[in-house]
Parts: sequence; structure tokens; C-alpha cells
Amino acid sequence: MDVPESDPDADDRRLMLLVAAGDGDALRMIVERHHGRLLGFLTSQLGAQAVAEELALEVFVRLHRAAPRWRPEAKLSTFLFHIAHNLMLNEHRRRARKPTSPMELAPEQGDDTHASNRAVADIQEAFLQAVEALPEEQRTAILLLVQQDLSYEEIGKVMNVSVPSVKTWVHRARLQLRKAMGDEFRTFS
Amino acid sequence: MDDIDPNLEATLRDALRRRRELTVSGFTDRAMVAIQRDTRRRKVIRWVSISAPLAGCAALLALFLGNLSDGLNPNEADIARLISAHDKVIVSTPHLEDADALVAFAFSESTVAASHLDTTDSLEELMDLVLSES
Repeated sequence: MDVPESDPDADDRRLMLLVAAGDGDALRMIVERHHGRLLGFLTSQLGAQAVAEELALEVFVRLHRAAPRWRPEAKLSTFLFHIAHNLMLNEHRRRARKPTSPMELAPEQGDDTHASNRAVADIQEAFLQAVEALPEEQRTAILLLVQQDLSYEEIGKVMNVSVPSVKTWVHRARLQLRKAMGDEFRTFS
Repeated sequence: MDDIDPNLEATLRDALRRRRELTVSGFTDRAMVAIQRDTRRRKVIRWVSISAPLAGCAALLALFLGNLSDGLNPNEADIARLISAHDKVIVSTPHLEDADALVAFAFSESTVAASHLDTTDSLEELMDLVLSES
């Protein structure tokens, strides 16, 4: 299939129209284009890649179900994060009902043998843990803003809340992180 | 609103960007399989939900308006056997290719059976077979 690279959002819209018409190749292309960011977001949220992969699979199943009714009012990526956010809330509710053993992150690959590299990696790891410890709304908002480059408006659509609510959560998340990271960050900087 | 500390913000961004994308080989294939499975399951559910009420009537007519003992045709006899062997749920549907034939699914604790197909495969596979026949 010949899909121009120039405008990713326009490409997504065109692909979704094809998916709605039953085009399997277009569906495969959408999965290829978007699964990396979805997995990055969900893994950061849930802390376990295996669970993130299961939820990401379900995101694409639901996208396929919704394809005939999909209207390009928002970017496809925003729609995908919206589905992922809802599934993640279900997952958190499920965990709250049926607590499981804490899941561990897969060890990061990288060359951290040099001392300064290791220091940077350590501080980044501490940041990731501090982000994981944030309340769910704050964590989602800061991840979508800083990690996934969504605008406040897009985050509002993903989370189904107003822009001021998003800004409040981001503000609180930054305060929390500054507090949590205070000592280590002063050492680092 | 935010009193952003540029150092903290830069470090936070660097940390989070490490996990911005996580590409997993084979994920797309798994997603396509999951989507196909979901499509098949929804097709089966839709088919059963439409056909079950009508089929129930057809099965009752076949069983109770006909001769319940010696006059049963092979399919009706099969259905009667299934009814006696599986007391959980029974869904019977008219076979679309043959007005006289019936396809009956009977469920018990651990088994699923069909009068027309004589198999103990999963319900989904049975329904796929029926769908492909019709």
C-alpha cells in the first residue's frame, strides 16, 4: 500500500477509513505505527511490560471494533491513548479488588559502565520510580505531557476531563516530584 | 501556574523519554491474531443471538408436534438424545441449507456437543463450521 509519509495524522485518517472498509493491511500498518508509543506509555503506567502488552493488544481490538464509527475529530493517537487510559483504569480497579504480587520492571539495557553514565541512569531510574508512585491522575497527565508530547487539550480528551483539571494534576505532579526527588536532584545538579 | 524548575524538568523529560516507545518484535502479528479472534467471537455471538429465539421455536415444533417416539427423523432423534444427555442449556438452530435438518448445541458442565456435527470441539469452532456451511 502506498501511504505518503508527509502528514502522519492525515495518513492515520486515511488508514482508518480503509480499516473501516475491512482492509487488513491498513490495520496492520496502524498497529505498526502506534504500538511502540502505546507500549511505552502503558509500561510506564503499569510497571510491567507483560501486562502492558496485554492491554495494548486489547486497545487495538477495541480500535478495530470502533473503526466503522470512528470520526476523525481527534488525532488517532489521542483516541488510542483514550482507550488505553480507560483499560488501565479497569486494570487498576481489578488489581485493587484482587491484589497481586508487585511486578518488577524488566531491567533496562544500556551501557552504564562509565561512572557519570551510571549516575545519570540512577537519577533517571529514581525519577521513574517517583513517577510510578504518583497518584493515577497525576501520573497519567505528566506522562502524556512530558513523555508522549500531548497538549493539555489532547490530555483532556484522553482523560475525559477539562483542561484546568489537567493543568492542576500536572502542577501537583511536578510539586510531588520535586519533593520526592529533592535530595537526589540537588546532588545530581 | 507552574513554577517549573528547568533542571528538574529536563531530567524528568530525559528519564521519561527513555520509555517513550517500546517496540516489541512480533507484537503486530499477535495484535492481528487477537483482532481476528475477537471478530470471529463477535460474529458467533451475533449469530446465536439472532437465531436462538427462532431456533428454539423450530426445535420445539420439530420435537413436540412430530411423533416423539418412532417417527423421529435422525436429526430429531439426535436432538432428543442431546437433551437427555446435557441438561444445562440447549440452543437449536435450523440448518440453513436444509429446512428439515436441525443443528443443536447442548452444553453441560464440561462438554459441548452438536447433533449435526457429532463433535466435541469448542463451541467457537463448532460455530465456525456451521457458519462456513451456511
